[in-house]
Amino acid sequence: MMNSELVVDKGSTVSSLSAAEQAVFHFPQGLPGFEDLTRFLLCEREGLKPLTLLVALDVADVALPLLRSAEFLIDYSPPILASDLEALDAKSVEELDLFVVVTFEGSGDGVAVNLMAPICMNLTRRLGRQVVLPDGMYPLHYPLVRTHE
Amino acid sequence: MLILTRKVGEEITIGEEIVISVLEVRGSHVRLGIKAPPSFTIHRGEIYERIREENLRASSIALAQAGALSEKLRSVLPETPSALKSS
Repeated sequence: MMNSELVVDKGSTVSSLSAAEQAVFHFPQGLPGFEDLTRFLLCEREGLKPLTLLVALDVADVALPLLRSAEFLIDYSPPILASDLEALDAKSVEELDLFVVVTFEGSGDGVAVNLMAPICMNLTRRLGRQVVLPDGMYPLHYPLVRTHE
Repeated sequence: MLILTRKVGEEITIGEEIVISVLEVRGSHVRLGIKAPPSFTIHRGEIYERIREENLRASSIALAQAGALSEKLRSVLPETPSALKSS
């Protein structure tokens, strides 16, 4: 089936990934829902664009579909605390790449992104962290709908 | 679980750096003040729970439907990045 080569099961399929995709990213705190998983691969493939997959390295079948927020929003600038920057070994938010988690909406028809908890990554240092923003600042479910001008 | 009874104005300390104070009790609402080093992130429990559920839901479809999801994204994303729509 399509994309089955992306399933990572401890070694065998990792070797089929490109060198860039084999770079391991560390999420020292894990992710909400996956607190024990700290090592991930970032898969950005031509065929999957604009989707990026954050694939867990230590278990099979865990991958979060991500989208770079800059791909579709010009004014998304969540406040990143000094402690988050420190954990990501970054001096400013400009050093980070911001991603948001994508989900199919209930009916499976629409898609939504989680703007409340961006995945912040320092691509140089290969560190990542999902930052939970203060309540009410950005929506947990932001539906993506093409607007016709 | 450790269970303690505290009065308004009293505190609980956790380790050497975290202090939780009871500021006010009104009916069934309790206002708490929390002092902790900036490296600790503090959230209402239900917010973290919602993010957890969202991540679990997102990951459950990722691999099997990555192609379909990507196609759907291409159909709804604007040609150029735009401003956030307020709901």
